[in-house]
Amino acid sequence: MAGVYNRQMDAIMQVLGPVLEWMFFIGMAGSALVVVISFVEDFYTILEKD
Amino acid sequence: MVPWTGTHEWPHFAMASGSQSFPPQSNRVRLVVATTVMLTFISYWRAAAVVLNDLGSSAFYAGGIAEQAIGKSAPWFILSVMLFSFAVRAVYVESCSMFTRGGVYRVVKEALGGTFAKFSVSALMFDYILTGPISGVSAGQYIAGLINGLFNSASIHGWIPRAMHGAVSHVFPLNENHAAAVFAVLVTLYYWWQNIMGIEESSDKALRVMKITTVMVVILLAWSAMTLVKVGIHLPPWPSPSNFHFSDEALGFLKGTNFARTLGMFGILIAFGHSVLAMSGEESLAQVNRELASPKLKNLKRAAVIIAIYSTVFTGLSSLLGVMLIPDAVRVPVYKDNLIAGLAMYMTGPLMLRLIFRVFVVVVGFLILSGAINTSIIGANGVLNRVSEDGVLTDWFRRPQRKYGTSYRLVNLIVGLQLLTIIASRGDVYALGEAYAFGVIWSFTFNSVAMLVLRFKYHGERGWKVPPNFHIGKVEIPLGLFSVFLVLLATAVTNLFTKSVATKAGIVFSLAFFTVFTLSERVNKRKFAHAEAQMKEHFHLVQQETIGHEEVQVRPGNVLVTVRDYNTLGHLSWALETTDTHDQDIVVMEARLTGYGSAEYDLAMEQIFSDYEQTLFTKAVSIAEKSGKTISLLVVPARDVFSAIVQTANSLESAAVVSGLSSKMLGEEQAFRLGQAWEAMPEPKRQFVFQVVHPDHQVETFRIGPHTPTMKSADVNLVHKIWLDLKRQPGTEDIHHSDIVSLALTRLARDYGRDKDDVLKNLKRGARGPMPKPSPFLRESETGDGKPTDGGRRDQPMPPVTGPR
Repeated sequence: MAGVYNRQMDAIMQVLGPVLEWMFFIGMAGSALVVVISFVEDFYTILEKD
Repeated sequence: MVPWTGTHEWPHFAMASGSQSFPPQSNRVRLVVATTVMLTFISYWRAAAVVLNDLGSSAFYAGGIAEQAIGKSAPWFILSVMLFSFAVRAVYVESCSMFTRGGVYRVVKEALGGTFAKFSVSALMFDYILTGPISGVSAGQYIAGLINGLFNSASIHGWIPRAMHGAVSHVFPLNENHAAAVFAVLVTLYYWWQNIMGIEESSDKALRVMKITTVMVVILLAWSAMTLVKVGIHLPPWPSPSNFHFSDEALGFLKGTNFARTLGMFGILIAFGHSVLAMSGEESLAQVNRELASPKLKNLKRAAVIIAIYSTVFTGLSSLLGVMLIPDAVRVPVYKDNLIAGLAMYMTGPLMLRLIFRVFVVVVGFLILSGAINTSIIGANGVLNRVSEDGVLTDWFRRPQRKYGTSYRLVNLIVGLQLLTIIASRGDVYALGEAYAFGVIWSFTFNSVAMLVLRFKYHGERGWKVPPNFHIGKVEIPLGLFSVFLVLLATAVTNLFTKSVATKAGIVFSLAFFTVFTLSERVNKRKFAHAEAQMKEHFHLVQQETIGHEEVQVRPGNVLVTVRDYNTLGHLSWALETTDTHDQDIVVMEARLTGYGSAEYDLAMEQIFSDYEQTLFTKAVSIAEKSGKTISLLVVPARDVFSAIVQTANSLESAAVVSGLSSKMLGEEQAFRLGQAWEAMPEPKRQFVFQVVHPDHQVETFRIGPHTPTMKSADVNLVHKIWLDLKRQPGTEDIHHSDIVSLALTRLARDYGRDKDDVLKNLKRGARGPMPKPSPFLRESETGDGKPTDGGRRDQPMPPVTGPR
């Protein structure tokens, strides 16, 4: 990870990084619910007769 | 957005909610606009195949790109992206279940306003335009890799004669990047020409490709399982921060920061962001939605589950197996851009068998990846057409090609950008993949935020909602949808920092498109005001959900004249000249085609009857006025022109259909395609006469539908002899020749039911010489002037068939 030290980017990421982390992991927890509920629902749809 | 139902007047240029009707005026021509698209519906299996052609193609490059960026734990992220894609798919299912008209631009504009909508379409265009180059270059990498691999094997095993060795060593090994770029350019140029000519995409082709791909996937998984049994199972390192090995390119703008030295959990976001292109192609689900057979929502969900399972197994497991079976020493250095081919080479078994399987992998890769190039051109063309119809691009872009009638300027623009991208990338799949991910993630993010906002703004019909949802008081909280949006937004923003090339390219591209859209929209606003005034003056537009002769206000037995290009309306003049309009009405119909890439939402009425249709029908009316006859005008949105014609002819109870000679096919081919569409149409259906008018007014006439078989004179004589004999018997006055044929056929059917083989044997024995091939149409007469011979009226319509007789 060589390269010139980028102070501005560092400052941005020190603030933005944790916000994005929270957004991502909270979103992932909710998305897991979406996946499970919709998959079960869709699976029943597959088995249903028209 | 209030959905339009039933009969409505012209709803102004605003979205459907802005209804404004103009009372009919006597000097205006009544023009019926059908708003229900004439589609040939497809099963959920076919729909899944169409989507998987796009989504499955990413399996060929996503694993290699992700590993180069984040290291050996990449397959876990590919798998997690594939699982997350179940949730993204749910957002698209909700989007499809809404009753909306217009394109992506309109829907996002309704939710977020014009500026966001333009950026959304720009991101989608970036996604589409990059799909072509990455697919073409990836296919080229597989082919160049195969050629080099075969040369290498032949060289090692001494299969190349010593005399030839010197000569071929100048050429081989090929520079895989350059060879891939050349290949991608050639295939893109091929599809450019196909799209200029206006080839039609069919779900049959997609289904065939997916069948072959499935054979490859089954062999790949089974053979890999056997190999794992032999060599042992060694899983890739778990996706924990300590196992991430980000390349300098993978850190993008974060390179050289203290933050990058202690990434911790943020590393998971970066890794996830570098793997998102594995779910590229998800948006195709929305595009096939319109064509799904009933029950639509159920079939959409069925297709979604098939796609989810298939893509997770194919893309996820092939990436995982790649790391498990291909040794570290060659996986990235040799097979980074053709990982599945590498997998084929490291299976257990004889070299020749592995080489044969590698060739098979390359053939499948070529089929699916080159198909993705075509899909990207069609998709981008569809989106830009819609944007143009929405008034965001000027009509200049949509002007039809003189010979083929395609929107060639848009096709040229799309392919030009794709060729520039291929040349700029010099065949580097990694660089293309990075850029592609920008378009993919931002187009998903814009779609999810639009859906989120529409949960609160849109109160119309919605078949399904992304779960879970809960209520606080009267307000519904869309927890699931919000969660998906959070992940997409977090990943998209992270990618802005970690994919420097993609961010720069994406922003430049999006700004360029945004500027073009904004300027075009300003120009169009002035033009639209003028066009609207003209519209009020000349046409009285009536919107109909479905059409029949009553809605169009014509009598059964009318003549349907199809028009497309305002430069070639000679056949309309001919129809007017040869039809007595006191006896038969003439309906001039344009099938307004919508392609795969634009089938996400129904067209709004002003999109169906756009500036182009205005010019076309103004010319048609002018021709009718010159001949002193009246015509009725009709526009129907359609996916397939032949289906649209037969469905409209059937609904209007037309006796004849008149078309000009196509620039792409002979009159007989046109009749054959029309006959095929007729066969595919559900009962009840009626026969009609089809007349193809050549530019010199020579006419070919065909009968569409079941027709009288060509009877041999001996058979006609036999029927006549039996009839004469019967006539000698008392009480046979009412017996006709047809009764004899009916009785004979009834007996044959009874015998066939009892002893099929015996009837077949007799029929084979009785067959005398070759008969004409079965055809869905009958050529009525050789080329002639085609004028009706029965006092001016074309054939009477056959009575409608209401069931088997």
